[in-house]
Amino acid sequence: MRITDSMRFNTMVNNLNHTQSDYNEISEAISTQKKVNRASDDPVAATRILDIRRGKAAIEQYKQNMDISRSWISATETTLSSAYDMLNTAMGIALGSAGADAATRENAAANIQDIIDSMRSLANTKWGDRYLFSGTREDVAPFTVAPSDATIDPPQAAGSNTFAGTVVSSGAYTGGTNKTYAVKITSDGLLGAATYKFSTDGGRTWNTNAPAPDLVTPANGVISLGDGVTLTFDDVSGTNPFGENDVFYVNATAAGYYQGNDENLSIPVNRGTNDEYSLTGAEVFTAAGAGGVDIFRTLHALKDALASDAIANTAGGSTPVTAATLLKDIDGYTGYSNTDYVHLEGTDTSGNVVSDDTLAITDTTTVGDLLGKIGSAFGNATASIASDGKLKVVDNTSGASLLAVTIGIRNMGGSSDSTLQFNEGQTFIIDQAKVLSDQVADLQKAQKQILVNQAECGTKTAHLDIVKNNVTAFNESLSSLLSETQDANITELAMKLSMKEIALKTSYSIAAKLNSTSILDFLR
Amino acid sequence: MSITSLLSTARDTLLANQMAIDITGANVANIGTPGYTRQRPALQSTGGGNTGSAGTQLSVTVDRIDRIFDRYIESQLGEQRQNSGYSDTLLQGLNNIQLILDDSQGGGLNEQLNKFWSAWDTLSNNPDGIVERSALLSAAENLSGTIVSYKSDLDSVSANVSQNISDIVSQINDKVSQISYLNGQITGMAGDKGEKNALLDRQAEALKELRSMVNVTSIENADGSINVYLSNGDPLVQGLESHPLSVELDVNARSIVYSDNPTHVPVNSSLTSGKLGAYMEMQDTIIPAYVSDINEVASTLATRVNELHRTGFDAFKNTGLDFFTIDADPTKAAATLSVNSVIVADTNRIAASASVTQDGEMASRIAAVRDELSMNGNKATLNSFLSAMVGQIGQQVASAKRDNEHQTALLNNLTNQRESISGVSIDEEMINLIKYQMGYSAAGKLVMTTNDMLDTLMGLLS
Repeated sequence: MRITDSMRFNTMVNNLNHTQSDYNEISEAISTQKKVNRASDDPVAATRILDIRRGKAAIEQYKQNMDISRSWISATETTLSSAYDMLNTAMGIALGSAGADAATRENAAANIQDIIDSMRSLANTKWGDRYLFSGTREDVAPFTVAPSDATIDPPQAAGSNTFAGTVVSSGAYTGGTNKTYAVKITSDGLLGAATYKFSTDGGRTWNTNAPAPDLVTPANGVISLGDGVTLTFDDVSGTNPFGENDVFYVNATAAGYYQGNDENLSIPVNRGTNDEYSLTGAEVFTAAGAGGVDIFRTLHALKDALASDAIANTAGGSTPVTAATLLKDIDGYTGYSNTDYVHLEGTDTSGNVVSDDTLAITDTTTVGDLLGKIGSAFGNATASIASDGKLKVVDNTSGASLLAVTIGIRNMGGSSDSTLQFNEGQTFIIDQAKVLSDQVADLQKAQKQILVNQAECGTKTAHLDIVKNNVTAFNESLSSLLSETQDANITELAMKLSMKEIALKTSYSIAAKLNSTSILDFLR
Repeated sequence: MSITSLLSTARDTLLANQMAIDITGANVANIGTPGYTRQRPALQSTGGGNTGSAGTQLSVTVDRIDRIFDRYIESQLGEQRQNSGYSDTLLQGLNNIQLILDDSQGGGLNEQLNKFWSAWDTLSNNPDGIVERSALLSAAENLSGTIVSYKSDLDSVSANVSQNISDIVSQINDKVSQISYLNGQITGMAGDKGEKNALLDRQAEALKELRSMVNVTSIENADGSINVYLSNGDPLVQGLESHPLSVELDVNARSIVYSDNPTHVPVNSSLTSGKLGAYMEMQDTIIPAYVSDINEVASTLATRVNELHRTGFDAFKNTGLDFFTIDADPTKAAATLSVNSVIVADTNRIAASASVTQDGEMASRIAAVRDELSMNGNKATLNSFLSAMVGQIGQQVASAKRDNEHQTALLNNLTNQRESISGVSIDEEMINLIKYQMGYSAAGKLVMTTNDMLDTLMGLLS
């Protein structure tokens, strides 16, 4: 083949370019430590790198979400365990006060009041900006000091509403749970022309009366939202039209202490998986919970039982106990059976032993029968209920008060279920211990309710742990996949680089010698 | 045969060798001239021998000056320069697009999108948080800003391409008029003994340069002129006539190329190779495809987020607000994407909740759009669509690169083949120089010998 000078030159330049470009590629990979430095280096790997990064970004977010919900749950658990301890304390007080004197019981009642206050502040615990137990409502503390009747709050309007007329709420709320009702205007206009949808869960879901879900606002402006909730709009003689997307909402609260709602907070913890992480105040503290006990009502009842010694001085409710009242109708005798009897024993104020006596309780046994028994137990004395509801025993001869007697309720042949010391001027209490023991039973149920919720927290935590472990393991495998896809094998590259370096040096030395031999050298 | 005729022979020899040395000199002088074809003197013996009349009169003359070339390789080389021109330009243009779209090193649209979704998730954890709300706003503004800048970067690549198209078209017109001028020179010059060699070299080189810019077919005429046609048959050069191309911009600032055919029909579709072909493909196919991808991303993002956001409730319990504002025309989607100015003015207007209570549920529903198969006929998520787009440009660049390497190797090979045939070799020229110099010296010796012969003859007379 005929070789000309420009051929030699071109070939050398091309080869040098080629070697230099290879050298450059390898040294770039070494200095960035990556084998994919732009998409064209390996398009498939570039796509995979981006997909892996997206997966990792999502996982980072899921982990953050799980950390947040975990700390929420652990705050909830701590609060629940404090609540449990308080119920324990309350129970101890209740049991310890059975048969105690008025001052002790008053003191105990004050203690219970403290527990109620602490329990309320526990139930109103805030974590961050939100209440732990108010569901999704954060504008109101979940538990009030006093129980409220069922209420319908005044309606509220969204900040940017067009409607400048008036809206009022009315009606008596008959719903069993707290709800937020919302009305959304779907096409603007005056009353009678504008259309609306309504929601009973604050706007999460809307009424669907297919095929046309939008309702026309009534001309009289009265919109009934169910459960007795009514909103009445007035566009002031047709001068204030509604705007599309105007929102009106009203909170309705069932009777009781709870003000929050029944919605749970949830958070995405994995692709397509949302975990509810909050417990509502309703399921922890009210009768809607697993134990069916309203904790605040129970504590208040206990306190009342301790504070007032007139607790049993009513028959079947508000009717005062009289001599004619049947024993079985008196509060505290709800567990009455025909085999029960009242057992009397004790000493009078003069130190004389009162004769041991019993009174069998039948369907017709009255308080009068019991009073008669008490009177005869003291010998010549008269027992009665004074106008202030207190038991009075007077010696018929001396006119002195004589009462110092223990009255017990027993089953035939059994031992005393509960006894109570009576002193002079004591309120007529048939069986305060029985009343207290009912409260104690309720407190036990309340504790069980708290435990159930604690267990639920544990379940949630365990679930989060499992998900987090999975996600973390997945993240690790993504990391190693990412490294495999994108990171350069430095050892291999270093070898290649030194080989290319040799090639490059050789090319240079050949280039320097190029044309150093030609016939011209010999034409001297 | 007379003695003096020997002097004629010597004279012819001297002249012929001198011309051969001149040609060698020209070859050496043009060793670096692009397109130069080495030339050779075609020596021819003259006269006729007639021993019977002792009148042998043999001599030498340079009959023609030959250009040494291989017509097949020349035409292959033209074809290859066309392919290489296309491949070089396409690679360069695709590299520019890759610079815009490739975020495999992070910091691009994919990452902005990831941050956007995470910001919604974070907001759902604390729907009241002012910090979370403004973090979301800035993530959303970065995202929309990045989409807008992708679009405007693609637009500026397109504008560059358009500028390059008019540059290339004017270079093409330049070559077209050069070829028609050379056609005139070649046909106007008499003789076929090598007088036109330089013109033919320039004509061939001009044609090769033209072919590197655009795909044309050429026909060589008997008189040495060439006609050049576009692939649709519209002439660029016909003998002495040149037919320049012209460029107009359409409403989308895209270049439309016309031949001077009176029907005034665009010839874009005929420009498929050479540099112009590559620019045309960039302008008419490649860039519009990416622009439409970006528009689709912008409009899907805005549509899905807005659909959800409109049903959510903001901190003031308002509903029905769009999160993004975007032009309804899908071809303007990416350029007009921005966060609703109401939200920019007050982040409390972000609808984070699904109900009038601040439940943060809408924020997590919007964050879940990240896993929705909303793109590519409901087969891809926004993110996977974007990463596939990066893969696609990477693939295009990689295959353009491979093609370019292949084309460059072919071009080098053909160039070497041409150089092997038509290129100047110093060694060869030097040896020729020695040869012709020896011829020249020998002719001088012939004159001296003739002189001596004449002297001898004259001596006989004295």
